[in-house]
Amino acid sequence: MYSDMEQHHRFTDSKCHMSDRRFRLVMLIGAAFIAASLSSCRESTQSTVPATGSESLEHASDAVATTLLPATAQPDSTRVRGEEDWFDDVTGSSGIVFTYRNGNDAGQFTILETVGGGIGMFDFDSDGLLDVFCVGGGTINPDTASPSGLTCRLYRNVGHCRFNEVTDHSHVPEGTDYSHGCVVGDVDNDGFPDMFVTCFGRSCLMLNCGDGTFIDQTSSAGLAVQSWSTAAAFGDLDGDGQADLYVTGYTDWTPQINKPCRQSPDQFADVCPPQHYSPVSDHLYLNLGDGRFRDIAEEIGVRRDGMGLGVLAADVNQDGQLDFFVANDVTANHLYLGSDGRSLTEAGEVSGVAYNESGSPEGSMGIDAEDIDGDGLSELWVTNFEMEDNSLLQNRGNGLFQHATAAFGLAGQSRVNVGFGTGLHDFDGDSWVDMYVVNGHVLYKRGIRPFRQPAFVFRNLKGRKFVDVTKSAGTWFGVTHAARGAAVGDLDGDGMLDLVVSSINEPTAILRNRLPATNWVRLQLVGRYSARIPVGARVTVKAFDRNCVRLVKSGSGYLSQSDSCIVIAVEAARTVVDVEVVWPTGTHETFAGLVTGTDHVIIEDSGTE
Amino acid sequence: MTASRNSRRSRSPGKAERRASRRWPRFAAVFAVLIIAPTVWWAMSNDTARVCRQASELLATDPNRAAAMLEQAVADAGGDAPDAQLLWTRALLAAGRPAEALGCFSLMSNPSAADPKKLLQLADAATSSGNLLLARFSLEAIPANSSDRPAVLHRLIALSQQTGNVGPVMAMARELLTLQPDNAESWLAVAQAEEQQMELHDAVRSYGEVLKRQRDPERRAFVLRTLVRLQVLLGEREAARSSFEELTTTTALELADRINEVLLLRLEGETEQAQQKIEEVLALSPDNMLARETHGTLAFNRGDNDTARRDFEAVVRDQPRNKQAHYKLAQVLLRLGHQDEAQKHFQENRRLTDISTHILKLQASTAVGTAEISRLHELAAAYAQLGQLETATRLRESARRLVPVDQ
Repeated sequence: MYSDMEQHHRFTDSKCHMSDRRFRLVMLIGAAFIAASLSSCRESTQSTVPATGSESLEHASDAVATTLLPATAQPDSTRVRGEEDWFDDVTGSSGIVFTYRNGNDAGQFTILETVGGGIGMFDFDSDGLLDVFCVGGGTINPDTASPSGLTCRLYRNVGHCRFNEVTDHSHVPEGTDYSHGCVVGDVDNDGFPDMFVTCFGRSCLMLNCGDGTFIDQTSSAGLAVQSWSTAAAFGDLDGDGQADLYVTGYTDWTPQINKPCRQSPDQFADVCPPQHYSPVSDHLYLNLGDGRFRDIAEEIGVRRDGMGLGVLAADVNQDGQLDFFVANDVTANHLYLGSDGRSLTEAGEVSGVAYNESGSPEGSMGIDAEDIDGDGLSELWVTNFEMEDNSLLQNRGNGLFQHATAAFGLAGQSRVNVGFGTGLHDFDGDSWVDMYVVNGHVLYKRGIRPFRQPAFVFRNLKGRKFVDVTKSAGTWFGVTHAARGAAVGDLDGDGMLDLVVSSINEPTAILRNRLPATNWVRLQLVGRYSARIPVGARVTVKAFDRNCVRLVKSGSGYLSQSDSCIVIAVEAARTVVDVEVVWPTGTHETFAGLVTGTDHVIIEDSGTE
Repeated sequence: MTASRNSRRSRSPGKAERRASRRWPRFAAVFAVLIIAPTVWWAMSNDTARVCRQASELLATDPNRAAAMLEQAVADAGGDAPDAQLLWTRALLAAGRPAEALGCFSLMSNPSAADPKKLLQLADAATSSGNLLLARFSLEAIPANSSDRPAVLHRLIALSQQTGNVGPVMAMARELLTLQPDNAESWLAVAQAEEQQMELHDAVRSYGEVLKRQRDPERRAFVLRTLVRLQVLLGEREAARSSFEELTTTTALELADRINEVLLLRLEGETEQAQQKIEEVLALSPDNMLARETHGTLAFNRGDNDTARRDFEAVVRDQPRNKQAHYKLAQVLLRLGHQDEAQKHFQENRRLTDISTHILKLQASTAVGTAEISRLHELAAAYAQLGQLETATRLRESARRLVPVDQ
């Protein structure tokens, strides 16, 4: 199998810190072995450095909000940790001491500072534990409104939800521009996840060298484009086994044209809305397989009228082709449906996902897709601006979607808030995907609701309705935040999904799922003919008397990367399950008799057809 | 000195007589000044008051004659008869001569000196005749420390709402609340101002304050109706349900209330009940297009495409510029396999959406003078394209009224 995987190694590693190819191969085999070594992999046996009390104090001091922001809402004094709470806020003990800075203290009221930042959750060192990458943000010059980037941070999981910062050791570049999002993909198919960080200015491709370090390959990859990039997603568009890259552009704002907006000359200043600016083009970079990318957005017909803030790569219409769904701010959302070859057809309007129920564009931000109602078809989910319901788009088959927000009991829920980070994940282990939505305004004073807003968790009642369980979600949910990106994954290896949330000028929060662990399987899909991370694949596990379908996707949520592994809850009594996979190549395979309660690496072309 | 004078008198009595005879004109002058002039003045002002009384009686039947009388009276008074001038302005208004009325009022050197009650009367007359600029001028002439200030504020707020100039409404409403903190109408003014400025949460709270003070069932019903609408808009299910329940105990439900109930049920996720209620509404009023569209939306959501198509087609026929009906019809046509027809309606939705976006941009912008007039005309044209002719007419009227200010 590894010799097959080696076929994908077309990137030169001459610039990496370990230049010995043989050593890298050994590392690769070792890493894959570790990943495949099932249950023991989730708790590292390496020596750990637990977070100290001083780190917690440092964390607390980091939490001081900038003077421009309204004071953080006080937590509900009656809100104490309950026995039924879904999440524990373990930020203080996690060792992750990070605050995304947006530079609003410059008082320039730039639209740049409204976007916020994301979180990357992936196993960068292939030790079987999910690590956390925090996008850095930046500062804004108080005189010129020019942004400067702050260093992103990488935290290595050392087990038990504790992390060590390894930013310097891993050579995460210090000189990135003002950064927003991150997405993880294996652009060289070497088995080590690489990362693309989106920025205002020059976004950054960080190649994972496999030795715990990254190298900036942006220029040599042909990605050194000056633009305002926000969200990104990897996916193999042309079926050559290489991960291509979709990057959304936002607006043509520059510091030179920055000015605050006022409702009237005597009123206070605030950020100008995106309607004051023009959209900038999205980019669709084709991976040429030799370390370089080529932008084919124009030739493939990517529309130029969107203000992208979210993008999702997955097969959303079950035709075996990779699709891209783009959430645009104040402009119509775009759905690019893939077909054979490298062509895409934009079908947002005709599929019913471009607008709200009344045919008007909304301010869309976060994005995700999963089968919510259990019919095997993937619904789409989008978070929107205030006074716009978040949109649940029910898949009716044949590429048609229908607004079902009201039908699923989500109408009005969170309507007054500005929705950003979101995701469809089974947090309570009943096999139905639940939902989280984190909110925060973009306006400091002019919004209907304050800058800091509550976050929500909705439980899926067997595919019929969502109910608001925020009151039981945990103490972090009892306080308002200016939240933006968030990522989901099983940080502590207990089979229950945890949550990491990035908020503007607030400490990044580590929320450990404390619901009792159910029975589960965790699946890491590895492509051989498909891309190494087979975005677009579909996984089906029969459990609880139904087919539980999950997507391998990239770019979901908001500016963030959740764990690409799939965790599916199964009945407590089950000891083994059968897993069906539809690979992006179109191949159907069954992997029978997988033991529950542990991890599995599912390798393409090693199951039964 | 006195002895000397006496001696002089005794020496030349003829001279004294002459002097005495010369004093007569002086006495006459003094007499005229002290007695006759006030009498004349009294007579004249009495005459002005008399003319005013006569003119008042003529206002309804012969306003032109009343205006002529008052013009003469003002001229006779040397232009210094504020009450007569106010009445003259009213007469001109009643005679259908609004420009002259505005001119007449603007000739007043100090309208603030006039009786506030009469200024209020003029404002009411100007408002009734559609001369809103004159109404505003006359209200603004009433001093801020007048005991009539609350009445002035109520009228100014109503005027601002009528002209769409909601900017100053909030400040006026808050002043009103300061003057009459326990008055339901003061809270109502604040609530409406907050609603207009899209401060919906504050508006809901202020409407709640109105309810605490308002006992009149009709006014309560009005407020409860507004609350249901706003709470549904904000997605506040429980609060909206509570307001709706109170509304049902306060008054008989109107058609709009029943449609709001359907929207509330949908918000609550009770789509089957919503379906049942909308059927009831349509049975009462089959031509209500909002109900028809809601019926179609519910049908579309449950996959009843034929019913949805019939409903949306009916709405589009009745309201060809209803963009969301076009969009919904396009979607249902797509499902039924009529792609070409669907595209036409998608296209119409896009066209109408572009106009709406343009309106939003125009509304967000501000201008002064002739630029403001152009902006209002552009807005009016955009609204006319959307088929909202009443709004378009109102905006054109507002633009027209701005002309005299610039000139």
